[in-house]
Amino acid sequence: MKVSWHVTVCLLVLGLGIPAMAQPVVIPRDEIVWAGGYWTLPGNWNPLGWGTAWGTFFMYEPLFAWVHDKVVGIIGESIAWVDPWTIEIKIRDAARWSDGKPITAEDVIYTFDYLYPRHWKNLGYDARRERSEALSEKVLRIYLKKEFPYSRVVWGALTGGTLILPKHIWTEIEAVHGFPYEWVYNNDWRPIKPEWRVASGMYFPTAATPEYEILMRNEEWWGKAVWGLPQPKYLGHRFFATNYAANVAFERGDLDWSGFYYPRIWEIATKPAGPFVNTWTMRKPPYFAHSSVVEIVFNHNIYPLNEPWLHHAIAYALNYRDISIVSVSGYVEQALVTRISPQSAEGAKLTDWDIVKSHQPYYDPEKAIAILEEYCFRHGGFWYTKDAPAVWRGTPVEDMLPDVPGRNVRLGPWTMIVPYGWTDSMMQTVLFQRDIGEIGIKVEPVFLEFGTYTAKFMAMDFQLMHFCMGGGGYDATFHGNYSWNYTGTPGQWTNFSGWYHPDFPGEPPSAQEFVALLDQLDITAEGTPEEKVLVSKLQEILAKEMPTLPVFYNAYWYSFSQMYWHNWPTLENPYLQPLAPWAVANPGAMQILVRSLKKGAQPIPADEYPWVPAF
Amino acid sequence: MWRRLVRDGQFLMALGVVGLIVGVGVLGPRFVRNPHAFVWLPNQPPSRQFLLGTDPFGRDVLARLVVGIRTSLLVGVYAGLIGVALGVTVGLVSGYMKGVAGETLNLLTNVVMVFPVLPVLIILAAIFERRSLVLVGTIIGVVSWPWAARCIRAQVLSLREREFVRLAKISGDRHVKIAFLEIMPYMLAYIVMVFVLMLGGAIGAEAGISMIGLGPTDAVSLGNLLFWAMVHEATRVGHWWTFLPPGLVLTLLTVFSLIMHKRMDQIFNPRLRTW
Amino acid sequence: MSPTPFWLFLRPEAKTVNDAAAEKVKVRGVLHGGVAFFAHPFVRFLVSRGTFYLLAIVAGFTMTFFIPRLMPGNPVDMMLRPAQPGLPGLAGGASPAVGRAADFARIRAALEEFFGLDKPLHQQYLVFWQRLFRGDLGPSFAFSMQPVAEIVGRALLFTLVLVVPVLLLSFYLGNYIGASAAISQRGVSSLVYYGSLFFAQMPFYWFAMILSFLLALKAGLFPFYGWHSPELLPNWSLSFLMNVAWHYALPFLALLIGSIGTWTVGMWSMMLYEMRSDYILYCQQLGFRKRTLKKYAKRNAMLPQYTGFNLVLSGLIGQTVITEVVFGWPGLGSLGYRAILSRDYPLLMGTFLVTVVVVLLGNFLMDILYGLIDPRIRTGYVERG
Repeated sequence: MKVSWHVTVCLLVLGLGIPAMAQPVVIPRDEIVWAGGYWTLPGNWNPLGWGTAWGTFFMYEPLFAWVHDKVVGIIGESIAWVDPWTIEIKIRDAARWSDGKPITAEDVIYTFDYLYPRHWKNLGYDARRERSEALSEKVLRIYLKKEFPYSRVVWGALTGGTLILPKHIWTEIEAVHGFPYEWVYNNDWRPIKPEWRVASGMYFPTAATPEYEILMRNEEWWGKAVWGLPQPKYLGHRFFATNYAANVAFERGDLDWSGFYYPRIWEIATKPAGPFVNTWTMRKPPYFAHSSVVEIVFNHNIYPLNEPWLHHAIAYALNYRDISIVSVSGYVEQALVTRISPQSAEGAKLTDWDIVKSHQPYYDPEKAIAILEEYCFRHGGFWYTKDAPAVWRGTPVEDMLPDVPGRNVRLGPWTMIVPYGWTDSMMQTVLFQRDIGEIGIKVEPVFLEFGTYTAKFMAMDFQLMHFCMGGGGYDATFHGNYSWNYTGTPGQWTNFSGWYHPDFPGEPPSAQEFVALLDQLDITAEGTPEEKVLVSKLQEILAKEMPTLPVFYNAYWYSFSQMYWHNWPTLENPYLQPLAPWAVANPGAMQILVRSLKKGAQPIPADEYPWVPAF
Repeated sequence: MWRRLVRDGQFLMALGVVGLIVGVGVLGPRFVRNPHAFVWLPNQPPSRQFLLGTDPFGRDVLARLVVGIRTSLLVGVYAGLIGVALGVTVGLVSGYMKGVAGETLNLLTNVVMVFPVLPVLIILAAIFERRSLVLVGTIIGVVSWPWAARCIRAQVLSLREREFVRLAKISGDRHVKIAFLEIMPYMLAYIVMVFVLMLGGAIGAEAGISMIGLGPTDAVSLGNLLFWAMVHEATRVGHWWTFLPPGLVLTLLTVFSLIMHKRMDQIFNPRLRTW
Repeated sequence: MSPTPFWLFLRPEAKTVNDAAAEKVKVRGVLHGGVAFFAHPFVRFLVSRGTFYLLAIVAGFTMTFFIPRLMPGNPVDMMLRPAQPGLPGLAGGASPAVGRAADFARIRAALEEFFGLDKPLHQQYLVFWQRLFRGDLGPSFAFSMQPVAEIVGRALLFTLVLVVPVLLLSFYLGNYIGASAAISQRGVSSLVYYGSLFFAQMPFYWFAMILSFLLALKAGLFPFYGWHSPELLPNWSLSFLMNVAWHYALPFLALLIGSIGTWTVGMWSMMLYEMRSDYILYCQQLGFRKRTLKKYAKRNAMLPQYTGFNLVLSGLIGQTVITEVVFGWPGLGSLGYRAILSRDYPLLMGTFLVTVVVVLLGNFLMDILYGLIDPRIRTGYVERG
């Protein structure tokens, strides 16, 4: 097909001419803070939806934020217990929506009492609340049910990350869309109805593609009268398909606020962004704060996996330092036997160090074998228990060596499930296999598709499990974390080990005691001596029984580059706790961080703060 | 015909390379260290003690490469056998039987063949809990049999009209017997050729799904090695010894088995012979 | 606009007996023409191939329907996961504030009802097809519940922009190189042959990573990730388009080099085969110039190459998965990878569906093209199947 060259030239000219007339839209690099690490891609900015986009947490604001262990006001000005069953909250006078209307107590009540529970959030709060009352435009009181004095759950919900929504807009949205689920995942920021784009926050979404999300500063933000406008004009979040790409971007200075895993971070010193990169601990090991606990979970429905002496034996068999170095560049530290990280506010205050001193395990394979020898003996290459109960949780326990006295149950071989693709978890499981094998128990890692992995632990269909989704890090509370991990129906996204089982009371009795103590803690006021006693008792039970084996505190992936912005929180500048871009459970703190950033490059002097390798 | 093959220089060279790699895969594991053992410091570049250095766990990369070759070959063999078994059966029947049976089978072959393979592999691999070698090999075989079926069918179509088949039909032999006893021996060479092709393809396919993390979960294979290299960002940090050797071996294996296949094709099919 | 019934045009305005007869002949002529139309071998070929592909699409969609229901792990369970760092799930935090088991059961029941998971299988299947016809592929869990159809549509565009030029250019270049190499000297010829074989068989992901490492990281000649630099917002300006082109270069190159090899190898063999055929030898005896002979041989050698389009297209779709992931090109491959990682079943299924349709449609187009080119098909000489 011969196309005349005249036509070709005309097409070329047209083709190049039209684009040439449009102006490129460039965002100056020094006006934007680029973050990375949040997983959910932009699609809806609806805080009631499932999997909200990152920008939502800068678009709307919560009442309060947690800064270390203090409650700091965002929309709210103050919160206090009036009596054991009443909380009073005052909202800031200056707080206003973007359409000019003030943020009122009605908005808060509407959000907490109607919107959130309607969409399956804050249900614990909902169960404990009797009613709420607006005393004036800016003051409200919440009345609790008689059984829940000083309830931590309620306090936690009110001071937590609930984003306040405007009643006058959302009643309208619901009237139009009716049944909640249909609009719960519809984006209220898409051009459906511009009048509905009302929020109170500092940044509003401007552009979004599956590769990034960009927010632009709200110049009319009410908070400018209180704190001033944040310095970054834009806030952006980038999504990378591979860690490799994210880390290259970080090395080059394309990323300011990183929530990614960077192996051997001291090697970044030679890269372009090296002089500007820093971590929470100012370039010294372990570089990162504590995130959730990495633990080995024992399925308590299977004998002898429920036996505490087995848990302790394995605890002494693990070479914690070596596993940390090999699997995560030495970033992770061994977890306390009481589970909660001492970096968390409650952990710092309430950790019973006597219990830790007397019960904390360490790497000592000989001690592990000594523990085993007390309860077991070797036979044919395996350990067998000297004795065992006849029935455990309704299942008869089989005697595997009938001609030897006592009921003998073999230890292992067992399987340990772990999600395939979570490489540090996979590496750790392989290393567990190595170390537990050294004391004579065979453990086989089983790498499962994540869907299969969750299906299995929800059905309690496993023997051992590598688990790192149980919280316990720098923001953990004793009541919250212990409840999550050790109470409730086993497997259903809670109580993963099945140590406490509602169908088998008294198997073991320590679990029942533990749950009762937790319920008592819920209604014990904070800061009282009773609280300390209760928490110590809880820790003692946990240390003795060890229903799950806390191995490490996962590293909290918070690192940043000062190539364009400085004044990030660090150990030496701890105006905030470490915050990764995915810390969306505490959006107020993230907002405080962004409005504290100052424009301009500030390299960190290498002679004062050299990079110290972890190994 | 076979004699000519054995004397052909190119074929022998290709066979040599493939044979060497296969030999390393079959015999090598006996002479190298344990690929699962943690023998040294992690991330060490090649040295005299560890010819290909150590991986981020501190395991011997050369040992893992050798065992990986064996694993990949095993997967390839399983896939090839299944693919050929299915393909020959379907191809024979659809080629030999005229009418509805033959056409339906042919339709089935074409439908399965025209499917994009990788998404199917991904989904099949994601279903199963633990993916053993045999499972992965089976999945790949099940997805790639249409190729074999098509090749076989073409051959059968042409052989069907030959005299010896008519003779067998006249003498009253049953169709199945004719198909398998008369026609197949003529195609033995062709079947071997198809097997070689499928072997190469299967090894490549296994590496492909391993790279996305959907390969065998309990074995070291070449694709697995590449997966871990990618995950540990080997290119970014410059650990070429974990990254280049598996890819190189894969390429050599697939390229030279393809050359073998092509030479066999040319020798068995004289019209294609170029020199 | 309602269609006008065709017989209206045939209604005769019979004035005379002759006119009526003439009308009858006209009607019969049209009907005859209609039948003749369908009897034409090319049309028959189109219809048979079309039906075949339709069947294949239906089979593919049905498989897409069944597979997630066979997979372990209920998608609703995925959604109910508490919001943990790095995982999608119910925003609201991991805490007992979310409630006890009874609440979870209520939530699960409500979600299952919403997604239709509580209905019997055949009803779900019907709903599946209904939704497909409406273009509704469900919400994506990884994309904050944005409709899958939108996300996949955008990704499809990116993949086509990458794959179609690669297909066309590699075909042209590969055939050219293959033909030239075949008739050149033995040394060069075999070098080209083995070289192309090497590139054709090389694991494309490995090659993509090496290219990325050498040209992007080390030499810094090309960007290493994304389809445009993040500071430039997408619009139709020249500098933005140039920026995209610069990002486009590496994935394009990676796919191109791998694909050329396939064509080269095929063309080389076919060319040599043709050069030995009788008519070429005859023409050679007659004293034709080598260039003319090459032209004739090439035309005939190309014919079977067209059948390779199907294979190469399917292969390319597979190859783009890793290439797109490595270079951050937001096409179907990248999307599928992300869907696998986050276990986003609606997105995974949507991607698969669109991939199947693209490949099958592409194959159908190739078949039509081949039918147009090969005169034997047009005249019904060869029975394809």
